[in-house]
Amino acid sequence: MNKGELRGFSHVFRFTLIQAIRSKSLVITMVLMVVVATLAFPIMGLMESKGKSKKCDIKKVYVKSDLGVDIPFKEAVQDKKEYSSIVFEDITDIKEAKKSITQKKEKAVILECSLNLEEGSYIFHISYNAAKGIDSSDAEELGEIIKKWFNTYKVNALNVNKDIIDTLEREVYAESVSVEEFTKSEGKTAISEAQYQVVYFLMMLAYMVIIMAANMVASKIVEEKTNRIVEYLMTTVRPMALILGKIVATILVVVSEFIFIAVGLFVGKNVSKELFDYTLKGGLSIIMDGNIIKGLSVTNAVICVIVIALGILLYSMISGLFGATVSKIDEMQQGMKTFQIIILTGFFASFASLMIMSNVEINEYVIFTMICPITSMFVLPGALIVGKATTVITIFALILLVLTNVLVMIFVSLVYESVIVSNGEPTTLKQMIGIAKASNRLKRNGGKN
Amino acid sequence: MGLVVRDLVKKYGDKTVVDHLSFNMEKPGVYALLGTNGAGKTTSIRMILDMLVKDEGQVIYNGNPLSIENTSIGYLAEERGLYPKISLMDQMKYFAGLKGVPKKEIEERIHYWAERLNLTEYFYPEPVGKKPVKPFRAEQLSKGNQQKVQLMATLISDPQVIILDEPLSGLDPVNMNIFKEIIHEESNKEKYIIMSSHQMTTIEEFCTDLTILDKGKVVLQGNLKEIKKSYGRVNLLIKAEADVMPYVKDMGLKVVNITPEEVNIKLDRESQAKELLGKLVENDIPILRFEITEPSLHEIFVEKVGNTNE
Repeated sequence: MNKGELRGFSHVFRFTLIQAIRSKSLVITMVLMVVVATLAFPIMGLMESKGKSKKCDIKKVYVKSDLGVDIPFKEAVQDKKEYSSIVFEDITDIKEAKKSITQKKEKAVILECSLNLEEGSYIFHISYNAAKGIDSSDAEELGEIIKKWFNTYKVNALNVNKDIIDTLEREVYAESVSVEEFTKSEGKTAISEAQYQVVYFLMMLAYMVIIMAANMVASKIVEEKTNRIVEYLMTTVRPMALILGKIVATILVVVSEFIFIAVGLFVGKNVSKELFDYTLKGGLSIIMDGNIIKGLSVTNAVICVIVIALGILLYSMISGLFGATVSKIDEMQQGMKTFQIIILTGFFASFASLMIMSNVEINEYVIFTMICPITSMFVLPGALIVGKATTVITIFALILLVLTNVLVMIFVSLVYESVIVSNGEPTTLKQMIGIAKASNRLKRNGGKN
Repeated sequence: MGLVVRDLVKKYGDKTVVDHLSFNMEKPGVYALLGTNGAGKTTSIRMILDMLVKDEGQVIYNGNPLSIENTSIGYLAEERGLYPKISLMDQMKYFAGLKGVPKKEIEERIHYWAERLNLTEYFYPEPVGKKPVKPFRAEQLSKGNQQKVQLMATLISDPQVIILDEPLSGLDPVNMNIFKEIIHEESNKEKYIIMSSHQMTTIEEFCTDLTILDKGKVVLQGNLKEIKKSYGRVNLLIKAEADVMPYVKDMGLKVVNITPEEVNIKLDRESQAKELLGKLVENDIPILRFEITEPSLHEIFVEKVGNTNE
């Protein structure tokens, strides 16, 4: 493919981009999706806060501390809306406090703090009077809040910075395995639940972006062919410029849409945290709370973007090519059958790989899907982020993906100009291969068959 | 130099849809490419335009292979080809940009052609009351107006080579006149124009040379005048105040058409006309009109293609 074959690319790109941005349906869809993304977490937060049991009834906490130091327990609840009005009172005589909560109408609990010298642990004991309307769940929850806060307080008291606290506060998993087994399975262990969610999220994101971009490219090409505009355009622009201009513009539009949605999600997440103290759970919290970005190097981030971009380009070229075989809009389903088979095969093979990654281990099949050009864009980004893709695999996958894109581009350049002007039944893959061979032969023989 | 089409061949599998098509346009003008439906005209046009890979053959313009990179080519396709939901102005600017029209000139040329083709109200709609102006889209235009917009797109870059596929089909008489005027103007500007049409009267009006295709093969080619001359003057029209049929039948002449007022006869040779005239005069038949003409292109076409199909 030479430079002349891209003649007109910039015009096609600009026109496609501007018309896509001006398209009412696209703008409405994007606005709706951004609104839904922005409101999703606040609505979940609102529902969760309403679903919670009645407001906390505890008004006061009598604190009897045998720890020997002043602990500002009030700080434990000052960020919690339902508990921030609780008054904490230090006491020395627990009997008076017990009298208060049993005989008076006071809605209070007693917090006894002591140290178990034998076990070396802190004991926080909360006493409450159920007869006075204190719910056990309120007392339990208050206990959990104080316990969690105290763990952080302890470490803060040592003047350790937040990053180190975050690292120290992570879960610890311990397992034992023989040396032979360890050598065999080195780096191949199954991924955790949180890692599964990360890989799944990236897989779905890649799939959605790719399917949107590919369908948009195909329908634009079909529109131009069914409206017979392509015949005029081909007297001015080379076929490769036509298809690539559309693909690049479409990728830009689709990626921008997803960026706006991501921004909406982050805004919504922060709003829900502010208003309803709603926190995300599990793998979603890892992705949305930015921990995934913290743990991600610049190189890996760039590789992920490149892999997904190459995936979008690959599938968009394939969908554009099959879209060009269609002469009427109602034949689009038939014409795009092969493309749908390819992308669904790629996606489901990737999903199977994810299942194996999370339930079994990183085996040969999983590695294959990281490398295979029709699955790598779904599997590799997630695998890279959770540390299951080695440098060798990543480099090999990138090379293969680039090569596949180049080969498909060459194939498209040989076939596209024939299929785009053909009418009648959609051209099959077998026929396209025949056209490609004939075109290649013609080009080699200088125009003679 | 000029435009040379040499040995174009296109095959689909075992079927040869264009079989060694060749013709020359030594001087600018209008060349007719004719043929029945499925004769290979559109395929030939697409090969000339480099839209379709040629199995064999070349198209040379002024000594170089004709391509969109080195020559401005205008193409008016037979079927309407506009973006239905995009404003006419946006489309035309896009097409002009693609064709390499300098940015500074685009507006000016659009304005010129909109006026020339009576499309100003669609490209420059006037506001109605206080409502904002809504640009016209192609789907809002009639077929004839869409065709005019397409002609605008074809000519906006002032192309050197113009290919018109059925340019007048579907046009009312007023718009047909506009199109004819423009084609005449372009032809007078030293442009190379190839026209394909089923309207033989139009072809006769514009074209000096032609090629007739049938099933991919060239069945007739050359200068129109000379082709007609080669057929001789064999069409006879008689208008008389008495019945001439007995004399016509007596001579065994072929009657093509008969009305109460006229008789159209196909002669085998021109001398038969003289012989018939002699007999009519001899018998005092009052003749109002006695006209010998060459065959029309329509007749030549039907005869040629009909003969080939037999």
